[in-house]
Amino acid sequence: MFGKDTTDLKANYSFLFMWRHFKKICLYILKRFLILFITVTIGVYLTILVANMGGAVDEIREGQIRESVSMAVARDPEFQELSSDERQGITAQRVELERERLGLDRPFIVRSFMYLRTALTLDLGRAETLRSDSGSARVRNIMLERLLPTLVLFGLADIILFTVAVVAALFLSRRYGSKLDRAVVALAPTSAAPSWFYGIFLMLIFASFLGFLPFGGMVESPPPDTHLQYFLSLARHIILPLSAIILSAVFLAIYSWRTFFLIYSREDYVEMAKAKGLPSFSIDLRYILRPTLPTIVTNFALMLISMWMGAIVLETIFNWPGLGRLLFRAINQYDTPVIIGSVVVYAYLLALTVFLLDIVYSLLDPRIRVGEGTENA
Amino acid sequence: MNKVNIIMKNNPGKNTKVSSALRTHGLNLNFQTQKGIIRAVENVDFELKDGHTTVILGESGCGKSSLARALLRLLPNNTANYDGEVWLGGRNIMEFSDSQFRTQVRWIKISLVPQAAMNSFNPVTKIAKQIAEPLLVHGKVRSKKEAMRKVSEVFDLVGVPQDFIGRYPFEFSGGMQQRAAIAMALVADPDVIIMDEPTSALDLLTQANIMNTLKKIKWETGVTYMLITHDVSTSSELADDIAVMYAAWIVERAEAKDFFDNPLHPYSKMLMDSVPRLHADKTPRSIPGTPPPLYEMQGGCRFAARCPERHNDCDREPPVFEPQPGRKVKCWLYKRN
Repeated sequence: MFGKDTTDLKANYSFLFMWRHFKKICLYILKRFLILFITVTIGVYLTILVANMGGAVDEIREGQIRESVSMAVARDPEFQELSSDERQGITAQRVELERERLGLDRPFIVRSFMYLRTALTLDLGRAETLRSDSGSARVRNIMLERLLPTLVLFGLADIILFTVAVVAALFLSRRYGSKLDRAVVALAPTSAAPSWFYGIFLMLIFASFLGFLPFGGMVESPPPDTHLQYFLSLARHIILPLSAIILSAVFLAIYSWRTFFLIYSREDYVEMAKAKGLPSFSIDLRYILRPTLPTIVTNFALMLISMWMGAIVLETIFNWPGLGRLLFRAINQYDTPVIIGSVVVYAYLLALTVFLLDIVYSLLDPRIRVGEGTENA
Repeated sequence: MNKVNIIMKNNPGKNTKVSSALRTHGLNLNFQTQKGIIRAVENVDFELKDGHTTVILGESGCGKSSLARALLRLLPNNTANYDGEVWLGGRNIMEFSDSQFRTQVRWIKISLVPQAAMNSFNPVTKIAKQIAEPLLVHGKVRSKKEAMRKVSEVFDLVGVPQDFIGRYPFEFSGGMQQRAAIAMALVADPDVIIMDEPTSALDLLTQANIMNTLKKIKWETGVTYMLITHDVSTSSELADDIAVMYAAWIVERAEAKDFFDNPLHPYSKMLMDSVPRLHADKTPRSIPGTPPPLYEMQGGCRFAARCPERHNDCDREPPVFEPQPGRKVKCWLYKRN
């Protein structure tokens, strides 16, 4: 009875299963993507409304255009001979042309959607005062140049934070109530302070007092020539901001994840795994860590979102050439296109973080992948 | 029809002499709590006969599940005392080290069908994989493929359709999960299967189906069951031997037929009186009172407070008497004069 037919049947089934899973995952990811895109769009649109004060900024811009055009006309030797009426006519004509070019003749509601399109595609034209390191004034170039250092710093911090916290939490959950465990629980409230707070302390101790790590920046100036030296310099510079980020979140993460592990390790299936004679290493990995991961990933996503918020000040105090410091400078110098650009890029980063973790979640939890309540027998 | 690979053991004949699959002597398991020491299993002697089904009967909170834990050495952190002898295959497994116990006893000698099957599977791993796991861990099969073949055999035996092999626990219904839990207990051909109230979480129809499946498996494989239950009527279908547990003691042991005809211990009598009968014109009666909390044990017989036949002797702990051959009762009423 268990001849060839059953194996064929099983092969068929597993193919069907995989196809079913694949379709479900794709659908889920698509749905998540659409929802996040709508969220980002709404967020950016609200920013545009606020940044334009519901159209008031455009009136100021119109005034600026009128002023600069009339100045230009007044200075132009070609028009010196003309009467003031004619000059005014030319001025009015040019102002009208400029308004049409910028779309200021259309109602604000239409314009706001035009802005939305340009903002979402980061087609924000030229920055007013800021320049990229390569000298470009295009907002998109400035932003992209600053994106990489931010991603390096925070990406690395997130990976280290996650790994350290998961391992430490699992370790502590096995030693529930020990001195180490109680120490970590007592340290959990330290995560109430933001990362830059710890940054200042670390800077005081390791850069100012002990003096063996640099105060800030990403590499030495002038930048080293060889790749190896560049990398080593980067490593020396990244230690302090990296530690500040990790320090500001790690104890709370360990504390809450340890609690998740404790809750999940009381499940009946953990005891069954023990009864089955599995070695404790496999039990920890397959029966405690694995079922807890979806919960931890959700918690981590929330944590990352709040960590992006601290980025602006942290990058500023460590003089890290990332998006946060750029935003800080743009606000100081009233560089509106860069401010809006930064907001958009941050919105994208946030959405991307959530999106990636959603995908990870769907891979981790079969209840999402396969879908709850399918063909129960 | 391909016969299942599980070794055919002798079916229990009524008069054949059977050896014991597992025997305990003076088994104790105590827990330390804030209220004091809880005696969950105290001085327990009993045996599981090879190929027989032994039913451990008793109310909730009398130490039945702790007995199962003690046999599998699944001890909580607050275990205060765990000693005695457990003989299995000619060796006292209480002397095994933890790693010896894990590799030589758990699941390959003694397996467990837990109380709530729905919580006994890891929700993020396919059930078939979880069933195959002990085979791979204990080196019972050479490859994953062989393990899966074995899983499909036990699925067949317990009546889980073959196409459930690729499914996750949440894609199983409650009854199917219970069947899968039984399949998991069978997969490594253990000598003894402990079943801790295997049907108590299910509706009556599913209960009946599962009991029939258990009976079928018993006849096909000759496996030794230890069935823990509070349900006298469902257990009667499967039982060969009965052990009645009350407040951490085994108070009566007998063959099922003798026990159901004529229970000896006052507690057993009252337990049988509480069961509704189909053909007798008798109203079921409940046992007044509750079992004593396991942490405030006094000397003397623990059932004395609820016992209608108590007398002066009951102030002292009764020894085990054997009023008829093969029947053991822990009660002063059967003291030989």
